[in-house]
Amino acid sequence: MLKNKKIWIIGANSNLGKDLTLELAKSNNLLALSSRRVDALKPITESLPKDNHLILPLNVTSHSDVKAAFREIMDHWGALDAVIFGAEVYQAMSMDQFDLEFCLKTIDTNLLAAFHFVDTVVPYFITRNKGSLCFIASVAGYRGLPNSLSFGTSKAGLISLCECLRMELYPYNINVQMINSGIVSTPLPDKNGAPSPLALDKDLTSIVKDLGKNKFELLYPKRQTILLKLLKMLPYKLYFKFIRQRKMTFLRV
Amino acid sequence: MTQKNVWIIGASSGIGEALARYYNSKNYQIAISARRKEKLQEIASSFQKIPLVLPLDVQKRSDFIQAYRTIRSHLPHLDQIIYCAGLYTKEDATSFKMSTTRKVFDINLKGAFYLIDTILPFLATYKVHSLAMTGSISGYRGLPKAFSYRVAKASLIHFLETLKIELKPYQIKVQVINPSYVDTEMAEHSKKYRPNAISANTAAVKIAQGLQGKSFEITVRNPVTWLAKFLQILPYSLYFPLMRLMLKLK
Repeated sequence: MLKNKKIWIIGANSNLGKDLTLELAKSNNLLALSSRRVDALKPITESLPKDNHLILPLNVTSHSDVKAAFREIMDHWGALDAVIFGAEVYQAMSMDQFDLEFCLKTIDTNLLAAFHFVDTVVPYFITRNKGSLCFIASVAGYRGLPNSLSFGTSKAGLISLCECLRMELYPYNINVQMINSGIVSTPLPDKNGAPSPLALDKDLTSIVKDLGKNKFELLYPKRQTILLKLLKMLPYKLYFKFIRQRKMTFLRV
Repeated sequence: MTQKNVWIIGASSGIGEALARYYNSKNYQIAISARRKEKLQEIASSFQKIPLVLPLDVQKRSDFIQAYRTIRSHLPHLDQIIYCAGLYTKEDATSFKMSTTRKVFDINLKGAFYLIDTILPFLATYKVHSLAMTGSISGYRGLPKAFSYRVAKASLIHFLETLKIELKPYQIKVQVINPSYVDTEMAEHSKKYRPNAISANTAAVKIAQGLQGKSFEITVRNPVTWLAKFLQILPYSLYFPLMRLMLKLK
């Protein structure tokens, strides 16, 4: 659990980013909140005490913007303990809706932007010999799913990036974590005809508790994501068959 | 026997070149693309059946569109498209340069997006039977070194999984080629221990066999591949300590 830390949250306006921000604010952390548009942060900052956060509007696809924002944090706080990267764009996309521009934007925002933060923050964490990095990826990145062209691909890259960082930054005492969120759904209702429950409060609590701990992958929501973890281990032939027969698609939470 | 038409992108060296030579020896009609025009012409001059030489920079969308226009006007259909363009850099997470990372992604991933964008509008009128791209077993799971390359290949493998699902209604066979160590120009950069390395020509024969088959993933069957596959399904809590032990890391 992150307590009394200085934390930079990127994509603080997203569903999970917002929930994490509000939870982390409860345990006496200083928060730097970034998103592309300041007004998107308003609903969050209104419920936070004035003196516990900075607002840093930021275009994550601009390397120089990221560097400038980091300098601003250092000017204000003189230190930074943790970064949570959750910037992302999403659009459901099947092949007949293939949109090249959006595909490129997805890779730039969800994946290449993460490299900007690694490049900006990791050298500082190395000199301090401590630090915490957390990236919000997605279960859509485990393996290909229908109707999520380019989103899943960007998240598969982000998962790989987290794995690489986890290995490489271990000697520098830098803790790397990833949160894999999302569920897959089938168009068929379950036995009771009710839609299966999405993320629960206890799932959020469990993630917040594990942030900063020596646990690499955090699942959100836990129960639903486990199924996809198992599917990833199947031989391709069985995997594709299963996905096709169940008509499984990805749902963001 | 009907004429087989194959378009290879990234045909000026490595696996792409070896595949072009292999298909030439089988008397296929080949279209070869790469950035280096002279290199393509040199390869083409040694072929028995004159290939279509289509210089193309995978970072340029207009190059794809132009090349595909030529293909459509010269060949009645395509039996196989193979995307082999790749850029390898060995830098790690603490030494990478953003400009290099961008280029790695342009060539290893975004070029694949351009290709799909190029062929998609014509699929109803211009038949493509099979599509394959080269991933790499280094994209399976994170390891030290070749930071950007690994991440880009992991993304590309995922993109192909998605294409396999999404192109099914279009009746296009989609395959991913995940080689282990192959001795190519690309490999000269990494002077590390390379167990089970094979020549590009040997790889091409195995890959061509795989492309005939139905399996989504084409690998070179050797202990390194099996090990990588095994490591891929380990829980992270075992994977990281085991890799640190195997690689003798701190």
